[in-house]
Amino acid sequence: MNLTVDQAQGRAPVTILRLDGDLDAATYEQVIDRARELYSSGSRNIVLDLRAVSYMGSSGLVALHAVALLFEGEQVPDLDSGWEAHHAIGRSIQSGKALKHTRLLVVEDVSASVRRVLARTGLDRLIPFETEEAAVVGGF
Amino acid sequence: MATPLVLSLEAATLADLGRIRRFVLEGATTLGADPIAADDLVIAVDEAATNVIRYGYRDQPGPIRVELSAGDGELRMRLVDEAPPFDPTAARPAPNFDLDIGERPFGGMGIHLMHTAADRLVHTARGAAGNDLTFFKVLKQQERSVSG
Repeated sequence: MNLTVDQAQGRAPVTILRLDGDLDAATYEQVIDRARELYSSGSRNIVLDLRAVSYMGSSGLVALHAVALLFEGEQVPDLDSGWEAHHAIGRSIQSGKALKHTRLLVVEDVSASVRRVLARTGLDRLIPFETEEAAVVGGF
Repeated sequence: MATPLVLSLEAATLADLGRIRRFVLEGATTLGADPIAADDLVIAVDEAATNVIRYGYRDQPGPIRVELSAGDGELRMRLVDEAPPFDPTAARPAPNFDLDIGERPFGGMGIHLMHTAADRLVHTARGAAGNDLTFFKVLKQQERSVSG
């Protein structure tokens, strides 16, 4: 998993974290760690660019959710506590609460594996997404 | 049914997930799965193998064997391990996923993805230490979705 960072400007400053490679149980913590560093150094709005993610499973969903919580200023579930991090996603989806500080950038193809995983789990309703960079940055 | 394609790892860790997924993607495609069926089996094996390594073997290296075979328009993917018995079919999510995921006793997203990715899932405990999990998937998912 390669991670790169760009800064952009919507109505507010936006940090774009670009993910390249497989987002699985072996790599998802790298994404959370990098997002923590960005939040600590002052970033308050984040775009996770998933267009170059070749594979994403449930560990990837845990990472997206953890980053979203982090940027909402909320507590991130303990990743070592078994299923808790997964259940926390379900509770967030159920709550219907809008997330203001995280957006996803995804490929246009709705049949792409990453998009199908987002749709099947409902995470695409929890974290807003766009397929164009200008649109996702302009959303902030 | 022809001899299955086999990937046998003596000491699998999370670092092997990519290799396991590639084996399933290439093997399923070779056996005639269309891209959607192959992608779904990749999701299923990733979630199942992740569970075995993280929770079954508690992040210690352990044996995992994956077998792929096809027959009667259906692909079978068998995952064999030596971890304590765990039956993911007992954790079948309710159809209304939105309403109950927060309350399920175990499983969460991974189990949900495993179930939605496979057409059928059969688990057999292999005595006190070991699981035999077989996923069934119709090879041509695109034709099926077109015909309803």
